Amino acid sequence: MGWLFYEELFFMLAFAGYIVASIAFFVLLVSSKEKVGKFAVAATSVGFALHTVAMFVRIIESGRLPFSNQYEFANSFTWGIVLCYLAIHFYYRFTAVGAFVMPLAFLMMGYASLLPRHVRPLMPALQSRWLTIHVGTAVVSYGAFAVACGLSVLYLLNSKKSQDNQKKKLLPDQEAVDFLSYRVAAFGYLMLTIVIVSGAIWARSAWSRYWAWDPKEVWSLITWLIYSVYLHLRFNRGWKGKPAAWFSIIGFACVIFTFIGVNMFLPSIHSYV
Amino acid sequence: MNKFQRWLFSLHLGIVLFILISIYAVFATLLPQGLPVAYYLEQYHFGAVIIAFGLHDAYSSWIFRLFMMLLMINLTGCTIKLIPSQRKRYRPDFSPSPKPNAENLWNELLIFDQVKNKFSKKGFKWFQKDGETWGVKHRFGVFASTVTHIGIIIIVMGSFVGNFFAQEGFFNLIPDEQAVFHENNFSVQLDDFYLDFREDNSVKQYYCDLTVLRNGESVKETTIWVNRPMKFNGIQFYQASYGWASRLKITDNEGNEAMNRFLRNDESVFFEPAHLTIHLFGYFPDFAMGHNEMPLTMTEREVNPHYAVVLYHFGEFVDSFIMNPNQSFTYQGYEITFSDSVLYTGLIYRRDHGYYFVLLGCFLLMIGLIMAFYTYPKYILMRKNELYAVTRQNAWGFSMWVKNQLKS
Repeated sequence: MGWLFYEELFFMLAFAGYIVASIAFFVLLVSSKEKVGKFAVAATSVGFALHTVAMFVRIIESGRLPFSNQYEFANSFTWGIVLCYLAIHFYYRFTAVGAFVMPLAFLMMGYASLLPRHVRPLMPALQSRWLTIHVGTAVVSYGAFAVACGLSVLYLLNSKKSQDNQKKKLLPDQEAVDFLSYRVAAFGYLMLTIVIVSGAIWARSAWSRYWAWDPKEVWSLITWLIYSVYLHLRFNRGWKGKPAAWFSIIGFACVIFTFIGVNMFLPSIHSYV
Repeated sequence: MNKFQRWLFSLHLGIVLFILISIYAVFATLLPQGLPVAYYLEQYHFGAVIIAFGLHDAYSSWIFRLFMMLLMINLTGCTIKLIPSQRKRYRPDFSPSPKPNAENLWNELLIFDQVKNKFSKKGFKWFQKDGETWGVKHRFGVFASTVTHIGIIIIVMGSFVGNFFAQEGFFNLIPDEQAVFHENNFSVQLDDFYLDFREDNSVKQYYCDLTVLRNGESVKETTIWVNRPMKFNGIQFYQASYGWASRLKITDNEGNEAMNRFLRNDESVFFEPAHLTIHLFGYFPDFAMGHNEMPLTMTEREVNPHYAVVLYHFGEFVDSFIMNPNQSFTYQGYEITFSDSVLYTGLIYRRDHGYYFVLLGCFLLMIGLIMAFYTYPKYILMRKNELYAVTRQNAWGFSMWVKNQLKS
């Protein structure tokens, strides 16, 4: 049995962990039982550990970071989402946020599982140290936007405050969710800026032009502009609450289109990712 | 400042422009760019609208340039407008005021001087005026938006410089050929071009050995590959493409050479004595026949080389051949052979001084964003039995941090 077997094994175990975590988070929302929340976080953590092992096996197998095709990026993207969620959970103790983030991770991993997994050597254009910076920051950025989107969904669903005291205890304060969504989106935005800048520097050394108006580049710019609007309105006009939450969700829709939609519907020199 | 100027420099216009540019760019990505106008008029019901709004060549269109120009004016005006208030807030004696609904973090257990000492260790500097004491950290963060905006302005200006003044071109070279840059008084010679293969015969990398010559003297020798261009005299040279060139020889029935030249794949040559057009359909170094009876190459290794050649006489199809380098065919007494195939390289050259402005702008943009999101000004305001965490950014997070500090 080769490395591919073990990678697939750990990938599927992690996938199972994320499915269990998603279900447990849903049960948590319905039952409001603290124990269920602890189990959901444990399942997420175990899934994340297994996922990390799967990623390491692939790194050993391919001799490089798993950033070079749609499967590898979707896989890393999922890893980034769960990493951002766990970081937020362990820092702020907002367990219930997982109910809105883990389904995104589960869906993204489901998408990855449908893609071909062959390990292919890097094509000449991808043989650059910028690959790590450009795609590595994209993984973190997209993960942060996913978590911000999950927080925004939580905010919108939690707008009608439940009278159930147990639920009130379970769901974080609306103001905290609103602020956290903004802070996570701001972090994702900074990372996205690094993605675009590092991509431009790399494009110049590989293709001669730092910006070629390729659909992937343009959609990254559109995503950046949407989040720029969101952050400006939030900071300067005090946009909070529902409008800000909707904007965060629209921003994440742009992220998803940049990642999947552009590859499916638009011709692009970035067609390998 | 009159009403028009206020509007021109307003956040409102900036937001509107961001949204308009986004919408315009969305349409641009959905349409093929740079095709003839007739194509859009024939293919799309709203072809006239596409042309009117310049969406067929979106990023060079008048409307896109107008958006960008307005954005530049807006950002510049907005930045200049904000500087006085930022300078005021930067002054050490600027005292913050908490929001009316701000949470008072003071509790009975706190001791005024201990709180000051605690936050002094975290980098806060303390000031006092009119019975108020406040600590401040990251005062320079007030300039975050200015730095960010200047970064964006420089990026856009740099891209304009690139659009209008950049030099760019493409040329092919066979080994030992030269490309002459008369204006710059040098030439670039390709010494060798070769492929590095993996075990599975896929191409790992493309290498060009180049020599730069000035007045016949070698002034630079280097090897370039994808992601590793050569820079000379402010011009970057990039390995961009490659192909095969094959030697075509035509000899008459007395053995005299009537033609000897290289042909690239899919290139034709007219041989006047026989009114013959010779089209090299392709050179296939690892020849195989595809399922649709079309020749193809399995790899770029020369393990089974073949040529596919098509002949036309006065524009009419005559015959086609698949032959290897040792074979020849005769037409009207002329013997035609192909041999000595070599790899040629396609090089892009580009000189764009705007890039350095873009790079500077990107650097400032990132610094500005870090200042805006992380090193923004933070104030701790203390009055008698009152303590407030004050910041325009991340009020909730900063307040939580101050609470945690006070607890510990």
